[in-house]
Amino acid sequence: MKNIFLKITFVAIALVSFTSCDEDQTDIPPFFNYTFNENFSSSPTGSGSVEVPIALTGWVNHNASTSIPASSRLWHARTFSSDNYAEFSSFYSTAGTNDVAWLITPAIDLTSGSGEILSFTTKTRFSNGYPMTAFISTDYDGTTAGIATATWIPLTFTIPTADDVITSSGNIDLSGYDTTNARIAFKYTGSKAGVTTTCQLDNIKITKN
Amino acid sequence: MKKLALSLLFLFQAVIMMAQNQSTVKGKVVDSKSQNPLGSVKVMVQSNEQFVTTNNLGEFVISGIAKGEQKLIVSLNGYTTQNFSIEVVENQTLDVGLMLLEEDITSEQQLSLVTITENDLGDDNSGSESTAGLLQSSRDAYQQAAAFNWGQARFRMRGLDNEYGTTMINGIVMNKIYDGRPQWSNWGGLNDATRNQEFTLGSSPSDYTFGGILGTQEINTRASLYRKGTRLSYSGTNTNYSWRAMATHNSGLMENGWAYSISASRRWAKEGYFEGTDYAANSMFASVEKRFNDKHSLNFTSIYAQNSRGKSSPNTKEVNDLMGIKYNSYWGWQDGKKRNSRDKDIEEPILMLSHYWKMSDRTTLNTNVSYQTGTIGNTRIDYQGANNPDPTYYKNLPSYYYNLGDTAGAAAAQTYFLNNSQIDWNAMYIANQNSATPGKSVYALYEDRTDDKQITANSILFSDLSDNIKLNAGASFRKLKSHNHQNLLDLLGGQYFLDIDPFYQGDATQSDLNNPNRAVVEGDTYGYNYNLNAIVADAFTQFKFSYKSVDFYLAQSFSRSQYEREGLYRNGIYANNSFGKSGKQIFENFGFKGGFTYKITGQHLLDFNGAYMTKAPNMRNTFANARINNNITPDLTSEQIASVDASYIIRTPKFKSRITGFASKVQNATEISFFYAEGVGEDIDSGNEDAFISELLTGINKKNVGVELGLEYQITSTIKATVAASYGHYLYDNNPNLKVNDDAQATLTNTQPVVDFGKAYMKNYRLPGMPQTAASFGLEYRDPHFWWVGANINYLADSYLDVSNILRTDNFTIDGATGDNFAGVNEESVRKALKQEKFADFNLLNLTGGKSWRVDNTTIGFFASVNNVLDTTYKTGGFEQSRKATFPDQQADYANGTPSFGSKYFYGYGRTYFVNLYVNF
Repeated sequence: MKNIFLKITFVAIALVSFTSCDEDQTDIPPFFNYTFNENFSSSPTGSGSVEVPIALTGWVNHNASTSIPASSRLWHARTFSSDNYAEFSSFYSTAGTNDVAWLITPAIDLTSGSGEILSFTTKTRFSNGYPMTAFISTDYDGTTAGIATATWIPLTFTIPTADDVITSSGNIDLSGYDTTNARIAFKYTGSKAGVTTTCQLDNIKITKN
Repeated sequence: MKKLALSLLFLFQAVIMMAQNQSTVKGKVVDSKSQNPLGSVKVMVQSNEQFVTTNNLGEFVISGIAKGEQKLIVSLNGYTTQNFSIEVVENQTLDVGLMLLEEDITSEQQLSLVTITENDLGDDNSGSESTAGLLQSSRDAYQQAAAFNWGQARFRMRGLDNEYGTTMINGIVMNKIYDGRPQWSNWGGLNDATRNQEFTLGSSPSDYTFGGILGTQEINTRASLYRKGTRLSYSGTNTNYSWRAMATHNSGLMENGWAYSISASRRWAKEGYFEGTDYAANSMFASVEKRFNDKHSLNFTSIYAQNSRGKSSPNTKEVNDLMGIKYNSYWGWQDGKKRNSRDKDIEEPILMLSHYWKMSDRTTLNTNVSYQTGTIGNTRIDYQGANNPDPTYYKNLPSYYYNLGDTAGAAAAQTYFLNNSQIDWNAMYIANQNSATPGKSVYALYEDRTDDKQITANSILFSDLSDNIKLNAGASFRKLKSHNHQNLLDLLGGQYFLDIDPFYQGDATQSDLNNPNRAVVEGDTYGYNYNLNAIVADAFTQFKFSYKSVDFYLAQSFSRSQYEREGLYRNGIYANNSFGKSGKQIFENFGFKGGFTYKITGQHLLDFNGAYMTKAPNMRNTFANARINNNITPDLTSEQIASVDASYIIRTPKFKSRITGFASKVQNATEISFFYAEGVGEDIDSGNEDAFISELLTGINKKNVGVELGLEYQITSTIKATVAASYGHYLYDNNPNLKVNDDAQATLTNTQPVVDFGKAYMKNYRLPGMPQTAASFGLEYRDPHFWWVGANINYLADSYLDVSNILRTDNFTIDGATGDNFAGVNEESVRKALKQEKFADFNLLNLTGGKSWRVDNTTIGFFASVNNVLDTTYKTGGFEQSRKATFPDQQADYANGTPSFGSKYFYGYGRTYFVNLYVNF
């Protein structure tokens, strides 16, 4: 009899401890978890012929123009409908120059999460050829001189099929890059005499799981 | 099918095993004081639960009783249950002679319970949210604690809503088809008349119905069951009413075969515990039985309980801090009297005819027909083109100015609010008299009215198929016509009110296109007008098997529910789907349950129960926005319910205990919340605070797991100690789907303007509004000279706020305009913003006592109790407001610590007393 009583007490204690697990963590609504997120909302903007170059901390904004004289124009911030973005166009460049305008992010740490996805949006205006390419590097040192020596791996993204349409790059898988020194670069290649398409760049985001 | 086959199998086996036994026990039960014979006493053989009831002379005979040592349990409402040991010799008749039953003076406690159960919190027509009402006649130590000590704190057994229990009067289900909950007020104040009750807990078997997973309560009003005598009582309390007078007379079964019972009571208060809560209730009861012969008896029961009371407001912390917890924003002075703008009026009389047919010694058939009709009204102030009359309207409060950075304005608002904290009836009369359109009221008082007519018929068969096998079977049919409408009560000095919704344009302003722009006067229907029709039929069978060391049972049920809405208005927003019939919604449901009791010895038992059933959604949740259209709730399905429990029971003469582990799962539940939308979806900040929104939450899974314990130990013959405890974990078990019916988006082609908010991330939030942990320790001293005192100390904890569902969708975190996170959204900030508030735990000390005197054949006595002796302030519930439905809006509202749309809370009573004086003769 006593034996059974003991067994029951044991069952009771087991039941209590089964139900008295720690305070359960509740679910919460989903949101995007960003490793990197830049929408240029803090960049001062210019308009018309006034160009205010992007000068965000850690970013590199450099025109590696090869012409003589070289073009010194840079990616600059503009705003439309209260939305800031980075823009470059060779249309206002001096005749006889060419533009190799690099806009490079700060070093991004891709080791803290997994499944990183890069996306950004682009829009073109007055198209006469598509000027922008995107790259990732893991060995870039952050100097203007280093641009030429770093290894730049091209990234494939969706380009706009028509002018004045904000187009998402699509999801670019960065999960293979497990580095603390990932740099994303956007390179505009054009000239007053050649491609002058206006290229707008915004919402550069890397999400992680 | 398989289960049916199985049950038949058991049946045959049992028939074969049936033993032939001619042993008989007889005796006579009398009152220990008066020596008067007691009729209707239940005399039960403990080993197989075979029982008989005594006749008018107190006599009983039990035949076919097994030989050997047996225990008889003799019980009668209002008396202390007695156990008698007997030795049965085969094929002989044992005469046990006189058995004395002693009056249980503590049963007076039952009369105080109703003050708890009637004070429901909800704004709609539902009954109490505490399960205390179910338990009032229970003698189990745990259930008594749950009713008398935890009920005031809104404790719910096993964390389940009353819709998972079944409350019956004479086997007729009293749970409303509309919301599945019993309307306790329908028989409120008739404590004497509703004393004959049987309760089963969880899914354990009831003789009368298949039931739900919470339990069943059967109230029997058969006139011959009432003990002969007259009883007068008068009570004073400071809870929801102040005074109660009650008179009851029972004839007992007379020689001519007639029996009757009549009872009447009145309860009233100028002001209950909370400010401005007036109370007036009149109740009458009559039951008449004619016993034609040994086989046939007819009983007619009529119950009339009318109840009118002022409700009290839930308040934000800001308001409670300024005004105290008894503050109620619903009332205002008028002609020197406190007038409450939110009254609840109930008047739904019940007529019931019952036929008892003893077909043979072993079989009884009970057939009942019942008709219930009446009204429920909840009053409210309506206004057009005028300021919100609510004194706690957010723009009247200091927080509104603080949050605008206007400190001076906040101080001025505080001063104004402290001087104008109640509804200003006079100002509304003046506004109506100075209306821009002379005669047209800008303020009016109306009621949301439900006029029900329900007819119910049922038949229940009780049959002893053999000495070991009992069959219960029943079928019932319910037909309801429920007329729901807005009824204009008072024009407040004006001559008419215009039946339009001024927040819309063109046709959409019209509540009834068939009869537009009506000027309505007092007594007119306006706003909305529709019928809900329902037909519900169900049947069950139950086999109970009892053997020497094991009892078991199997039961199955089937039900069919049919609901239909019939619009009587052609609403301007839903011109093509509001008038006429919605089409029938039909749900077919079934249930199986079973369980067994293993008797280790006569005093130690193991008990197991399991149930699986599906349950039709209730009618309230079937129609997405019943007030103005015929739409059915999207994704509506029946619920699936599973429940198991296991108990270890000890019942020795001195020590009784039960420990139970239980678990239940409810899947695919639906909850519709109707509220005056303050900013969900389209009309955030549009200022349309009057939009009536329905939030549709579907596919909800809930999980309830816990342990309950009850111990009762008779330390000496006069001192008894009781311990009761419940430890539960009741939570949402998934992320249900949330949709909002947004009338503003309705067009002639978009007739069901539902905005899909995706998932509401509710998993692991606790089910709100009840303590999930409760413990009680009590001591009771019962003096042989007919007086007793008792004290209970209770600990209640783990009660949670009802969280807003819409705040837990991605609408909260992700900006629809950009498709990106709102600024500041991250794991830490969102978790902090959406953390469920847990109420502080608290202790309640309750004292009870009573004494009775006997003068000749008259008993005079009193019962007194003081609840919450230490005057502890505690929250019983509350809810988060949904207005600030995005992360940045909510953060901004909380930035200064005094949100304009903070959570609103309900509080429990502080120290209250209940004193009852009574005379029985």
